[in-house]
Amino acid sequence: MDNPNYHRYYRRRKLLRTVFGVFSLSGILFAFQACYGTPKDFGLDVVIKGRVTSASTKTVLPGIRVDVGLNGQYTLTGSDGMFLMYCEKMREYHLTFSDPKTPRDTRYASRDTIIRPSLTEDSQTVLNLDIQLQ
Amino acid sequence: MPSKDFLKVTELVSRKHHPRDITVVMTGGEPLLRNDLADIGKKLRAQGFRWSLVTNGYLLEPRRLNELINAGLGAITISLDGPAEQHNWLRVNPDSYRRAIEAIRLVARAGRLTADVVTCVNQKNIGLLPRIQEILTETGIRKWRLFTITPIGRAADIEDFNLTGEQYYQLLQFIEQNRNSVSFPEATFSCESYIGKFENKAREGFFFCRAGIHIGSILANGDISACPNIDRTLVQGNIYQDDFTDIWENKFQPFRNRDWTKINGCADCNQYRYCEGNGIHWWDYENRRILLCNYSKMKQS
Ligand code: SF4
Repeated sequence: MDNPNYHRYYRRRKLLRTVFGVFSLSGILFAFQACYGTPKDFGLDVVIKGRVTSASTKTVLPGIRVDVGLNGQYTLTGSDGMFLMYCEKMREYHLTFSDPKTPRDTRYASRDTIIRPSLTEDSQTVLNLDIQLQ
Repeated sequence: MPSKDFLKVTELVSRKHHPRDITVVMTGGEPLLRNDLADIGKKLRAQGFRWSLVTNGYLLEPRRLNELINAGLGAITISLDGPAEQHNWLRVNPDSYRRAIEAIRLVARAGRLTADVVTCVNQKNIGLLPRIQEILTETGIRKWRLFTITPIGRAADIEDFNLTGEQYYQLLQFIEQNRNSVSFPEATFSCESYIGKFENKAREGFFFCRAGIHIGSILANGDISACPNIDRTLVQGNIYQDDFTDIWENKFQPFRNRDWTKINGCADCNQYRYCEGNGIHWWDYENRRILLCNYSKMKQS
């Protein structure tokens, strides 16, 4: 063994790294007795959030689809016109706001926006947008 | 458990420890049976934690995955226990395999996620590892973790589950060979036990049972323990009576000082300083009895 003190080194660092939440105990035949963990999440992400309103009436718009241009990732605005999504960290995002539910003749026009966040390494970047649809 | 009870605990943890350094792993059972999972995930992220998920993939269709990634999911593990016949046999469901494979393909494509597949190696699938590897290569997944079953409960009585010493050795050899090749997925042995000469070969780094040192868990009934898979007599408290952080700081001695494992065969074992009594989930704590020394089992062959 090259380094017998390897695990003792870690042991000294009594850090809480993982909290498991076991929420449901059904679904499979056996609760297998090992390997509950997941790989480490090395990924960095960005919070893209905001509110979508009507340019003419200034009212909030629920049900607007927000596409972020990453592997088909999207979300819908809630009843308060707000949306929030965690997205993979990128240099820029091509956001599309569209109104898929309203009948075609009264539908808000889609809007494309490119955003380029200034990304810092250590803090969670939050992009807060105020979008108006015509 | 209502989510608010769990989130109350994580809120307390976030005040005493850096949530940025902590990942909350949702496991089960099957966590995707909960419809409020994305909501819980979002709240955990708002508290500053990262979160991840262990699932059989059965309910993981594109819309659900989209919802979870939106909620800040960062890592995911999906179980696959063999080609269709063996996987479905173990899961007792004829559709399990198809859905697991679809889920694996999905997460392999999701740029935001760190993903792997876990395989529970047993007598039915030990001879099929090369085939499983081919299947996984085709899905695009890059990481593959293999583990064996702890012989407790029903698993202890079912012959098809438990590997012989020779098979255990064969498994570790297979993983070592995989790791020496350049193909994907890269296999690794789980953190389950000390594996002697295969240390740092069949897995990255040396064996170290993190239970109660880096890992704490809250079980479905609120019990506080180290890993979710260890003997229930090692439960140190319950969130409905105790402060999780107090238990973590003051009651986790059995996990942090493993001297109590230096009994019976382990007492004069020349590997003890590397192994420290194996993974804690191999212990029947109440009777101070180790269920299996994987190292001895492997050496038999
Ligand atoms: S006898 Fe105990 S200490 Fe020695 S290898 Fe086996 S489990 Fe580890």
